[in-house]
Parts: sequence; structure tokens; C-alpha cells
Amino acid sequence: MKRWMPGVAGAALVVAAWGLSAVTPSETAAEEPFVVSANIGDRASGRNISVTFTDLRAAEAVTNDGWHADGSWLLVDLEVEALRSEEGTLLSFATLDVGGRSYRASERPPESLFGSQLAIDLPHSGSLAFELPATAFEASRAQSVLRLGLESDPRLDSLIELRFDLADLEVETEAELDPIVWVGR
Amino acid sequence: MAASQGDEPQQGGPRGPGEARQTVSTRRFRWLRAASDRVPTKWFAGIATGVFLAATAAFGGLATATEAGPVELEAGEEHLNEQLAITVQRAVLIDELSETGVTVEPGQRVLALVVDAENRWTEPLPTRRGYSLSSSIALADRPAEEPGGIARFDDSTWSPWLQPGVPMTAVLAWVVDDDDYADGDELRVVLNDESLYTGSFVTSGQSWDDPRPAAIVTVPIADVGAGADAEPQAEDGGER
Repeated sequence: MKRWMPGVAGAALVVAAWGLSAVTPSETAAEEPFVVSANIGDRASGRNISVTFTDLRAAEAVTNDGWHADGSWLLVDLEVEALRSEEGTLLSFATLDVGGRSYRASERPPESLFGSQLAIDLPHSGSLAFELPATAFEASRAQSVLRLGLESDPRLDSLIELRFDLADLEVETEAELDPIVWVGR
Repeated sequence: MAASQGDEPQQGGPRGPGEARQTVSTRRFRWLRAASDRVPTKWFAGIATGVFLAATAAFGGLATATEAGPVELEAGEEHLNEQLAITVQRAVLIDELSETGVTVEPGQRVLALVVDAENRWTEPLPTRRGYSLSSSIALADRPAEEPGGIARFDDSTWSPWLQPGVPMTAVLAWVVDDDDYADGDELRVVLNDESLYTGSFVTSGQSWDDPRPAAIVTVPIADVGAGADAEPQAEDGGER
């Protein structure tokens, strides 16, 4: 055995151990949701949910069914349907991640798609509303991730994900949530 | 090894090279002993004790440190912690306040707190029982009793969520016996700080728990009877 061999072998083992720890999946990897990327205007389908995002709107005030609120609001217009089962199939998970913070779709508008019952092959259209801090639309760049799913605990099910930049949206003075209606195809 | 070999002859013969070496080493280190003899080692314990006492004195001495109790605040003063910013604005005694989800029996009234709150964390916080405002705000008279109902001040959304960085004015309601409180009483409200726990094993995610009193707000109670339009919202409608 050459004198340099143990040293090289030891170094190789250290590198191998580092590589192994680098490729080991994290503890939560086994329960991650199955993310389906979506684009505006295209239909994106997961296990039991299919979503078509139709528009994103930013506004300084929102109205819905006689309800009115000031603030910084993001409205997400979409069509959504179930694919396999209707039992307990509600749009229960809707979050927006931006600037290191996570927001949940607002429960305040009386008629929004948040928490609504989905039907198979009968998409209905409507809006989700996100209430954001006053400075939300002032940043020059605000990479945002919108995720929709069926369970309030999103693990181990499909999540429809839309990535966009909040700063690209033009801020309207007032916007109205779309009424929830069935969409004919 | 070299040392033990050198020692062996010393044990064997009465006079050998070992002893000569010992003499040399003794001579070589004699200065060290001379120096160390001058160090007042007897004083070491005293000096160390002195240093220790001086150090503790810098942190307040040996007496048991008094834990900082809850801070005293007035109505309108903000209390901040990692989770929330809370400002108790006023306390109202009213006949009923069904908008917050509480129902009153005969002989009971509603004690309502109007509170400005903001979520300072990175995730949305529910306000229902056991969470954020419900577990952070208590009456000093009944510390274990969470509010019977919470609603937004502006649109009466029941058990609203606190979105990060979005301020909200909330109404917290407790059902009380009608002789428990009276107009003009000074109400003492306890504000708790909670700690962030990360779930593991069967639980997952992060949550705030373990409320501990951090501030006490003194706020005068205003009795509004049945309330203008039977709710405090209408009473202050013009302000907002």
C-alpha cells in the first residue's frame, strides 16, 4: 500500500459522506404536496381539482354583494371544478406567499370562491380576495406564489400553483368580486 | 519511553546517570520555583471570591432577581410582542351584542372590549378560541375565561383571521352578570405573550401557545345601555 493511499481514501470518504447528506431528502419530503404549475388562461389539473386562472386584479377598495372594504386587495378571478369526487370537496386552501409572509384568502367578502363547494364537470367562476398590508403594491418587485387546494392541511394532495409579480399589476381604485356563476363549456 | 529508560538505572544502582540528570533538571527549574514562591498563592481564594462578587454585583448582586412583572398600560397604549400588536381602546357594557356570537340570558349583559390588533408574525392567525386574540386578551377578574365571541368592528365578520401586517379593529365580548360591572368602573385587562412552538412527530407546523401575562391595561367601562342601535358600531359609525 502506498503511503498516500490512506489519506486520499479518507478524503474520498469525507466527500462521499458530504454528498450523501446533500442528496438525502428532508424529513418533510415524504409528505410534500404535489404541485401543479398554472399559467393565466390555461387549465391546470390536479388529483381532484381543476383550475383556470382568468385574471389578477389589484385594488384599493373592494365590493361584493353590498359589502365594501378599503385596503390593499388582490382579487384572483378563476374557474374551478372537481374531477373525481364531490363529497367534502371545498376550495379550503388558498394562500398567497409574498415577501416572506403568507396570506390566506379573506373570509370577509360574503360571496367569494373561498371555501365553496366544487362540482364535477360543472366549473363555476368567481373570485378570491386577499387582504394585504398597505404597502403591498409599492414594492418594485414582489415575486408572489398563489396556491390553491382542497384541504386546509395541503400535505399529500395536489396544489395548483401560480407564480406572478405583484408589482406588475395596475392598482385600480375600486374593484368588485366576480359573482359566483356556473360556466358553460 | 525515553524517560522510563532513564529512570530504570536510578532504581537499580544507588548512583547512576539518572541522578545526575535529576540534579541538572532541578537546577534548571530552580528559577521557576523561586518565582512561584513569590506568588501569594494564599490570597488566590480571596482574590477569586472578590472577582466573583464584583461580577455578580455588576448584574445586581446575589439577591434573588425579581422577575419583571406585567407592565401597566392605559387605554390607547400599544403592547407589542413577537406575535401581535395589541391596543385596548375602550370597554363597553351593553345589553346584548349578538354580532360577536354571544347570547345573553336574562340577568346577564355583555362586556365588550374594542381592540386594535395587528399580526406581526409571517403567517395568518385565527382569532377563534385558543388562538391569538382569544388567548392573548383576558380580564384580570376572570383570567381563565376566553372571550365568548370576537368580531371585526367594521363589518362584523365573526372570528376573523389576522393577516400578517394588516391592522384590524376587533370587538371581544364576554357575557357577565349584570351586577358584575358598572359604568365608570376601572377594568383591568391582562395581555399575554405567547411562545412559538414548532410541531414534531404527530403534530406539524408552528403555533403560538403558553400564554403568560405581560401587560395589564386599565380602561374605564362605559355603560351604553341597549346601545345606540343596539350595538357599539353604530354609536361610533361617524368616526370611522
